[in-house]
Amino acid sequence: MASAPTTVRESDVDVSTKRDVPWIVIVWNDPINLMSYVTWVFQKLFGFPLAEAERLMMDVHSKGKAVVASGPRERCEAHVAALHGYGLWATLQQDR
Amino acid sequence: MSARTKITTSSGGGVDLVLPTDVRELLASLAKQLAELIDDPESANDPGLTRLFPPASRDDPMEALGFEQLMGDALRAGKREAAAVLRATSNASHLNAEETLAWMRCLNDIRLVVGTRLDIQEDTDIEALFADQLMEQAALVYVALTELVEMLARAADPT
Repeated sequence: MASAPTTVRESDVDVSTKRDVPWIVIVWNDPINLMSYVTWVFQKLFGFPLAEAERLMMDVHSKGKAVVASGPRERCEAHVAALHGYGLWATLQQDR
Repeated sequence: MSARTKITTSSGGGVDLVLPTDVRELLASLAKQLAELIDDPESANDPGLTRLFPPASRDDPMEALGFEQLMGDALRAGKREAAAVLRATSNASHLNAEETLAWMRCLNDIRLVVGTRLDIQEDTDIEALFADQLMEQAALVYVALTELVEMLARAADPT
């Protein structure tokens, strides 16, 4: 089975001031994905203990979204790709 | 789903499967249809497909486009591969950890496509869809997939 893409963007042209602002990965609530499945994916992808995965899943469910990861742009893009691979609705943005 | 359906934890991250033959045939057929949908150039604007490959940015179309260029092929390949694994193991009574992952991802993707086409919302009354002749078949598939994904998430070890 194919693993999550981990390609790294090499031709990054961000200006240096923007570079210093970390990126965040957001998972959005959707009416179809099951709570049990989303919890399972959080455990699988991020290695969260069950309680932490459930807390994040409940944040997504009740608040509409949750930040599940942060860091350099390339790592966040890899996280979003992995989440899309599991069918979760994830986006990334700079944490302004 | 019937009492003949059972998914239990197995050693090494896999699961043991008891599933009726007609369900196995249905899942293999759905996995084939999913792979065809992913590869069909005419389905680019299919809402179900859009749900499988959502924009990676909410407010930055350039970031979303760059992400699609960077990750799109690998994501499509991953979903195609999961569908192929499900089809190849549709009659198996045991799935190893990798095959279990493929089943979960593929069945969840099919469920997302079917659910999107049924326009499932938080407050959708699934039972009511059974009464609609046009929706009935898809609704039955959706409910069966819900049960299977739930059972797999319960039986499969995420660690």
